[in-house]
Amino acid sequence: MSDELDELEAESESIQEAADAMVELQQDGTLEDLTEAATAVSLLADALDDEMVVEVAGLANELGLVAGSATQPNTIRTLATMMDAMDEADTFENPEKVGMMGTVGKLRDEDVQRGLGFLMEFLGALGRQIERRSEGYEQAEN
Amino acid sequence: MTERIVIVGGGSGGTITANRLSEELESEIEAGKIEITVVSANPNHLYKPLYLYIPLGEAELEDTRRPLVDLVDHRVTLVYKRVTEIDTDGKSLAMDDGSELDYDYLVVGTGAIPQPEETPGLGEDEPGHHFYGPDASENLRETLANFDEGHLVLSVIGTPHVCPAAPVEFPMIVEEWFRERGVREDIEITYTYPIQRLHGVRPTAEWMVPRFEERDIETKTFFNVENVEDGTIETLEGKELDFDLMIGIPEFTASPIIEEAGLGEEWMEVDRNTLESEHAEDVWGIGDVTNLPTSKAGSVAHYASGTLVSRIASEVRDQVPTATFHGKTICFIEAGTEEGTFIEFAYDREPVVRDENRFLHWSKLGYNEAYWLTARGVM
Amino acid sequence: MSETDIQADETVDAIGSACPGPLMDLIGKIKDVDDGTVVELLTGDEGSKNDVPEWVEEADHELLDIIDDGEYYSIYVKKT
Repeated sequence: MSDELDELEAESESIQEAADAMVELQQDGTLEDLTEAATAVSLLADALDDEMVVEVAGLANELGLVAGSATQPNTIRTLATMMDAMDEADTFENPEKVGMMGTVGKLRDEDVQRGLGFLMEFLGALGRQIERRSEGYEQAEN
Repeated sequence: MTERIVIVGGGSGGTITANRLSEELESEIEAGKIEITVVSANPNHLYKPLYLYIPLGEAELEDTRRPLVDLVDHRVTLVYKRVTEIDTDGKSLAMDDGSELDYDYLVVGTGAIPQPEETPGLGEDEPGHHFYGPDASENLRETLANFDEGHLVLSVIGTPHVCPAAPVEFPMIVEEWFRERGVREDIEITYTYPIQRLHGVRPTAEWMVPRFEERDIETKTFFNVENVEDGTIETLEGKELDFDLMIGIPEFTASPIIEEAGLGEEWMEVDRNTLESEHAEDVWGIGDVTNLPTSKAGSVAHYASGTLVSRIASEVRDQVPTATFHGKTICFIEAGTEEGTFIEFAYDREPVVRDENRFLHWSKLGYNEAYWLTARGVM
Repeated sequence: MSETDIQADETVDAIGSACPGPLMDLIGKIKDVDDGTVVELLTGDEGSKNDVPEWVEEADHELLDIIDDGEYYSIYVKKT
């Protein structure tokens, strides 16, 4: 009997607290915003089906995996540097035609040498990563 | 001197830990002070919760796996071998090709392995089915597709088993699936559980009672399956139950290398807060292989990895490790094919089970697609 | 230590066990051992005091004793 009374008391306390919270939301206008926003949730619930959820989540998964690699600090710096270089190079204004001899001449430029150094580093790393992946894929298929 | 962290196992625990460690110890790796290696006999990472959907034709085997190399950080060395022996005194691992690998810090995440053959009559070419593996789940798909009348019994046998939600979900999903196929009225469904309520987690058991009643799913408790044969299940308590299709949640064990290495008798024995081995120095356990007093679920490995990574990083940096794990676990529970709910609990804290709804069902479906982000350490 | 003369052959430590719970841990052990083995279950779960005897009766094993150690209970079961 006293258990039931305790339960009843706890319940009425909860109801009072919930009502207080509601009144507060009503008075500051939040409740109206929530009610309006809730219709959008309703729309979502009526419009969504399992296939749409699976498609969107699948897409988010693949994008997330790319983002996971793309957001390594070094990768971000490298990407940002390359984007800055793209901006600075201003390729579309006056793309100079460079032949074999021209290339040799350009190689004397220290900036080009530094860029080439980066490309060589990058190619080495690319080779290692290709090796790592292809071993992994070969293993995974067996 | 480069110190080597070796992680045994390419499942959820091992993969998440490897990815988070390589992020946390980025500068140490760059400076050549630390090297991280994952040893996995399986070159694919498996998302095992999808095995539940294969019998219903709602997932294919290829959906359950991705090459490990696609999910593990490029700074981590992958070794595709099986560890056959752990020598915690010599701090060395023996591999199936005869090679050895020394470690300074060892993380063991070898998982829980289904043992259907421990129950006579359960397993391949036996009357009792299960869905914990590629062949088993595909066999069950074929059987279920041709099952349109009779008595289906789902028995929880394993104590403990992986994924506490699976046996709750399966009867409710398959019940709705039979209705959608128009054969429900010719099929009886019975769910059995070893103890006196319907589930080990009390609030989950209470949540199940009205829902199973509503769906006309019969239940039997104090039902410990001992033997399955010729259409009859016999129990430890001396009961018998006839069936036309029997699906068992089998027993699970740790890899034998755990006991051989003296790391634990049944499961790998670790401190429930620090995840350190109770028996060896510089050795930690993660995920289903451990004796942590909570469910064997991917979410436990996920949350515990945060603690583990922080503690190992502290050790590497000669700091005092302070991070602790308190058993956080989350499991989705599908209540049929259209609605779902979830439970969240920890050591000494029981879950609240909310009423099921469509949004939680979609969250579960969405998570099944986006799980790979968890493995990658992104989410 | 507790005031009992019972010598356990096997001990199941289920203190703090949330899921699958102490009784499941005990059943797992009982399945593995031979008849006549005395298993001691350590549990901090209040419910175990009732759950375990109920199952022991259902499964026809023998409940030897329940000792309150303050922080936890020691429940002795003999497999028959």
